[in-house]
Amino acid sequence: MEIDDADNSDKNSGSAPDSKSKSKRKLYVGSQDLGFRRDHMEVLSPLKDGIVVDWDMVENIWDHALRKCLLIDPKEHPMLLAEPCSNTQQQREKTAEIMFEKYQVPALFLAKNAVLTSFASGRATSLVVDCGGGSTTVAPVHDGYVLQKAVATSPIGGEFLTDCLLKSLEQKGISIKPRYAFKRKEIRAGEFQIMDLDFPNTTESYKLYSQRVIVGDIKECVCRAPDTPYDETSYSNIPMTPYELPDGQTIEIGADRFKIPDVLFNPSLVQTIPGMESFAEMTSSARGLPQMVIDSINKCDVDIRRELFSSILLSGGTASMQQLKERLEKDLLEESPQAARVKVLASGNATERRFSVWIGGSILASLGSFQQMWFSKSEFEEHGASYIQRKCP
Amino acid sequence: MEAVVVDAGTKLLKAGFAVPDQPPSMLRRFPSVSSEMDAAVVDAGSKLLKFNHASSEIGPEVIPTQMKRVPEDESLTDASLLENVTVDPVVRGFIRDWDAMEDLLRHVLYTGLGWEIGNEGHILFTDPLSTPKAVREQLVQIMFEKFNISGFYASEQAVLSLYAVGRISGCTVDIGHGKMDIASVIEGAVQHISSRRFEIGGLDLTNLFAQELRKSNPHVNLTISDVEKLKERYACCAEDDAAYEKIQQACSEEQHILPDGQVIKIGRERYTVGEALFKPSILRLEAHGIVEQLVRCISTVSSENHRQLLENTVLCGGTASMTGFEDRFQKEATLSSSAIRPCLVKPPEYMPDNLANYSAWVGGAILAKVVFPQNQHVTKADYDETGPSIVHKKCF
Repeated sequence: MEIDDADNSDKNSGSAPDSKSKSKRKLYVGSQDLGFRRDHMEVLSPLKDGIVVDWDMVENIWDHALRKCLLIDPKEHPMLLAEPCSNTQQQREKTAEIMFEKYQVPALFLAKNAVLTSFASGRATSLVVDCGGGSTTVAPVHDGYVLQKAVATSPIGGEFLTDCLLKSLEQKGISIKPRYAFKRKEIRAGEFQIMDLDFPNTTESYKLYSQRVIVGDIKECVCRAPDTPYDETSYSNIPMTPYELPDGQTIEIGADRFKIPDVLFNPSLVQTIPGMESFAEMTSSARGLPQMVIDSINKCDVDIRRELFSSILLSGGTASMQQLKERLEKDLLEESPQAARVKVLASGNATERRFSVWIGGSILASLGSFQQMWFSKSEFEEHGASYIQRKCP
Repeated sequence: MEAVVVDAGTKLLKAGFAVPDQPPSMLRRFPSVSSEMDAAVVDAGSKLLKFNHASSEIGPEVIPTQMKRVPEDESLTDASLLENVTVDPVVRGFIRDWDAMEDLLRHVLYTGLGWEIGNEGHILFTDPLSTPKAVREQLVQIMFEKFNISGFYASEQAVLSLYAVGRISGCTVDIGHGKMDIASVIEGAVQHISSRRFEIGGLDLTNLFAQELRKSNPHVNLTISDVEKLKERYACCAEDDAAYEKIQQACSEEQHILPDGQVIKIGRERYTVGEALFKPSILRLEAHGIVEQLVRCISTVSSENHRQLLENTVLCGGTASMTGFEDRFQKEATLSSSAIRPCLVKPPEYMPDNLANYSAWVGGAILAKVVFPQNQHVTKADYDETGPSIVHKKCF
């Protein structure tokens, strides 16, 4: 059996909030616990720039996933973990140590995200464009191996887009009330009034988290990738779409529907969003999605470039945005060399796109020919954690 | 011979045969000679065992699951030496004590339903949400090896409760004795991402009631089973928040005479029990009320399906049949924003009353009539060939 540990972005709201009390802290994991507001509760993520900084939190998340959600004993199941393409040797060794020594798993394997996505669509060679929550990664896979020198990452991901939308709405005067901050009362039959509740001990990070949840939902419902690059004048007369917030307030969203997704293609747009100036230096060095794809392919051998162009896979939560696939295809057709036949593939189902790494892992772990490739406990005891480099390339 | 449907809950085990239509309130077993194998339905709760033929009109036969362990040695005549240990085979919805469960099922199937050894039929079990794979496999193993049944099927309680009211998509709020499940089902498949399981249920409410009663009646000696009966009789829900506050100030008191003669006064405690479901802080739990949880669950599903889920919300489970619970639930539901407003479903007229108590069993009865004749169940041959893990492939 396998567990997908996406080390670079929390897939099922795995960010662990913690409530600090005298340097001993209690960690709450999971969206159910996160949904309840507690005093002095901070929302933290164990990852920083894709690298794990807090292993204690990661262990807590694994505990929750294995013991509370799946209700299994890790001793009885081999574990397949998915890791980001840019994972360091140190992190892999630490993962192996924790898995074998704390959870006593019988066997372990670490597979790269891009490879698993490739398997999920049944291909051994493809270019995987993973638009996740924390970052976007473009990685070419050839015969089941990631070509490390051609991997490109960008810090712009779903969370970043959510922040842009949040700031944009705030600038327009719309305040997003988190779910815990209000209560509806019925004054007369059929008439409702919103009462504001005040909780002075709520931390800023929790408030921000609650607002992000709401704005994330707005983004998923309303935003679409524009067919042409965004510019202020042509999109100023767009009809507005209404959206009802949890407190009953209805807001209208017009140009932002197309502006926010276009940040993926044109990161310098961020500078035009008031409130996001602090991110200006980060985005000035970031490249747009089509540019990353072209750069990545150009770093590969000439022989495989044609095959990569014709099998570009989209995965990740952000990739399920409407019209993203068509826009990417169009942009790539313009910028790619004439002879190349560009084809962007994405599974139709939004759930499949979001979990394609896990699905690939599921396929891989159930293959008969994979069973001899596991890194077993006895090998770990004999050779140590550094052996993982050889066993899981 | 007809097949059996078993719904194992923390308090009640509901079991029965599936037979062609019968008028309600006839709880009888039929050693029928009909050629079609009807299923027997067994619903094992942790308080009551409900069983009967899988007919939608008949309610199941119901027996309590709490068993007393009696020493094997019959020579004991002294009553005080008799071990009075209560055994709970089902804890918080999951089967924990397999030996006790086996004995219970033996009683149910052979004595209660009239199966003969050597001539066992088909059986359909219901599972609560998030049943670990190991538990399911263990169950299949016991059924095929100890009981030697000819066919097996397992299904989730959430899906079955929806079948009982004639829907295949919707949301079930199952408030049982040991646990509470909120599950969203789309086209017969439970969406695990947006389903929640809570370890609070009728049991915790009983404890709360006992606590409150002891506070206001310090001289009365109460046992838990007494409190259980009192809860079933008196517990109710206030109309809304404001009404509850008013009741806390002043409430009419009722006098109740216990079987052993003591007189007990029950006042505002009855409303506290009902309120606890909407304000878990009364139970000292850090969670939102039940309607809020339901709304949050539904909002994690993609918005195309919201309408389907919200319009088909089903309340089931023993605790949900508390007086005033449905109305309060509906009232709280209207307070949520109009985009996500749950709407309770009315059960069809041909269903017996009190459907909420055993809707999972009834759904099992309906399903049994479809699955077994079409040979979609796990047969002995399948089990012999593949082993217990066949249950994950064939039953979902």
